[in-house]
Amino acid sequence: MHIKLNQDNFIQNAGLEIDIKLDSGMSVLLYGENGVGKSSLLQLLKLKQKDIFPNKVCRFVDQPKLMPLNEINFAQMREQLKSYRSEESPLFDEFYPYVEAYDLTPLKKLSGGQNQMVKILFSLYLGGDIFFFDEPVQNLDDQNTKNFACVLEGLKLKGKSCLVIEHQSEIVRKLCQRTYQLVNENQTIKSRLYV
Amino acid sequence: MFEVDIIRVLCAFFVGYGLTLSGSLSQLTTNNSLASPSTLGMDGLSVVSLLVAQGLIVTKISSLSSEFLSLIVFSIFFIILATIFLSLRPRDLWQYLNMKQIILLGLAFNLMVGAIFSVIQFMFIALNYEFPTGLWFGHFKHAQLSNLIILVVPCVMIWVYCLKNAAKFNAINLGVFVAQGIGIDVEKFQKINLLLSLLLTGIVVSFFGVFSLLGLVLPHVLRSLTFFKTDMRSEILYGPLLGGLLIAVIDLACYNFVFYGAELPVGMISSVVGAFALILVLLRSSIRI
Repeated sequence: MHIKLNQDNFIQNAGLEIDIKLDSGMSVLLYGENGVGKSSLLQLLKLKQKDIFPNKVCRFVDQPKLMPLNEINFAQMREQLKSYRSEESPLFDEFYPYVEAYDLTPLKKLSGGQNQMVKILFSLYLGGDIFFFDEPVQNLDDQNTKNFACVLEGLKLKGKSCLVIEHQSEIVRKLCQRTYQLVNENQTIKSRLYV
Repeated sequence: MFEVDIIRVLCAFFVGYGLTLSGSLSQLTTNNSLASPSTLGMDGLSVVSLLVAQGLIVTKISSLSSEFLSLIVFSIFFIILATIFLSLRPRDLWQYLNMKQIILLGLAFNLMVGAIFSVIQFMFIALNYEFPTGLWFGHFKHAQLSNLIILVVPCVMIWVYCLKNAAKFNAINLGVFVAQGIGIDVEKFQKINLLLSLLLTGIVVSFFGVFSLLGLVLPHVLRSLTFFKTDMRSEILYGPLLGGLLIAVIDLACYNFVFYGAELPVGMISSVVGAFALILVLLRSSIRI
C-alpha cells in the first residue's frame, strides 16, 4: 500500500508531500533531523487512520508514557480494554514473557523502559494490520532493544506492516527493508526514499 | 431527638453524587488530577449566575424565586458557552485540550468572581439591599422536592451516558494518545464531558450554593479505596453513590447539632476540608498538571 499525503499548513506553515510504500510483511524506517515533523506525521496518520487506511486496523506506540490517574496494572489494562481488540493475537502470547515480571505492578510505578515494553506488548495484544512505532527503543536497555527487534521480526513473519521512527539503534535499522528520510524542502515536508 | 428530613437528606445525597460525578468526569476525561468544578472555574460561572439572579430580584425585574432565576441565568450562560466551546476548532494537530492552560484560567476566573462577589456584596449592603451571603457556602436549609427532581434527572441521564462510554473512560485514563490511537475522538469527548460536568455544578450551585473543592477531593478519596483503585468504570458509575452518602451524613450531622443556635453550612465544611486536601494532593509526588 502507498501512504500518500498532500496537505498545506502541516506544521509551522510548512506543507506536506508524503509518498511511502508500505507492503504487508514489510518494516519501513523513517528518519530525519529533529523537529522535521516525524512525530507530527504519525499524529496525522493516527487522526486520519480511518480515511487513509480503510479496512485496516492501525496500532500506534507513541513516545509519551502511560500515566493513569489510578493504580491500574498491565493485566487489568488488558482486561478493561479487551473490547478494542481486533483479533486474538498469538504474537502477544509469544512475547508476553518480556513483561511478565511486572504484569501486576501498577503502571504508575514502572520505569521508563518497562512502561515502553508494556506499550509495545499492548499493541500486540490489541492486534492489527499496521503498526507504527515512534522511537520505540528510546528508553530500552540492550536486552529489551533486542526483544523489540524480535517483536519486529515476529510482526514481519505474520505479514504485518510496520513503520518505525528510529535514530540510533543499528539492530532496528537493519531489520527494516526500506528507509525513508523526512526532509524540509522550501517549506514542504517531503519523504525521500533512501537508497 | 435525632431528626431526619427525607427531602433534605435526598437533596444532600444528590448534591454529593452530582459533584463527585462532576469531579470524576473532569479528572478522567482530561487525565489530570487537579481538574474539578472548583479549579476549572465552573463554580465561578455558577456564582456569576447567582449574582445576576440576585441583581434581577432586587431591581424587581423578575419575581421568580432566587434558585429558579439563577438556574435560568445559568442555562443561558451554559448554552452560549457550549455553542462556542463545541464550535471551536482544534488549535493544532494534537487535538486535545491544553489542561494546564484551562486549569490556570479556571483558577484565575474563580479568583475574579470571588473579588466581584465582595464588591457586589459591599454595594448591596451600602444600598441597604438584602444580600444572600450564605450562598457562598452551600447548605440545604431550603431543600424542596422540585429542586430534588431537577437535580436527579441530569444525574440519572449522565449516569447512563457514562455507562455507555465506560470503555472510553478506561482508555483515556491511560493517556489521550492511547485513546486517540484506538480511534476515540478525544477532543469531542473531553468537551462533552466538561460541559456535562459544568451542567451538574451549575444546577447544584443554583439550588444549594457553592460547595468548594468537593468535586476535587471526593474523586481522590475514592481512588484511595481498594474497590475504586484500579477501575475508572467503577469510579464513575458507583463512586458518586459514596460521595452522595458522605454529604448526606455530614448534612444530617449539621442539621442535628447546631453551633450556638446556628446551623453550620455543609459548604463551609467542604471548603475548609477541601482546601487542606488540595494542598495534600499538590504535595503528593504523583501529581501532575
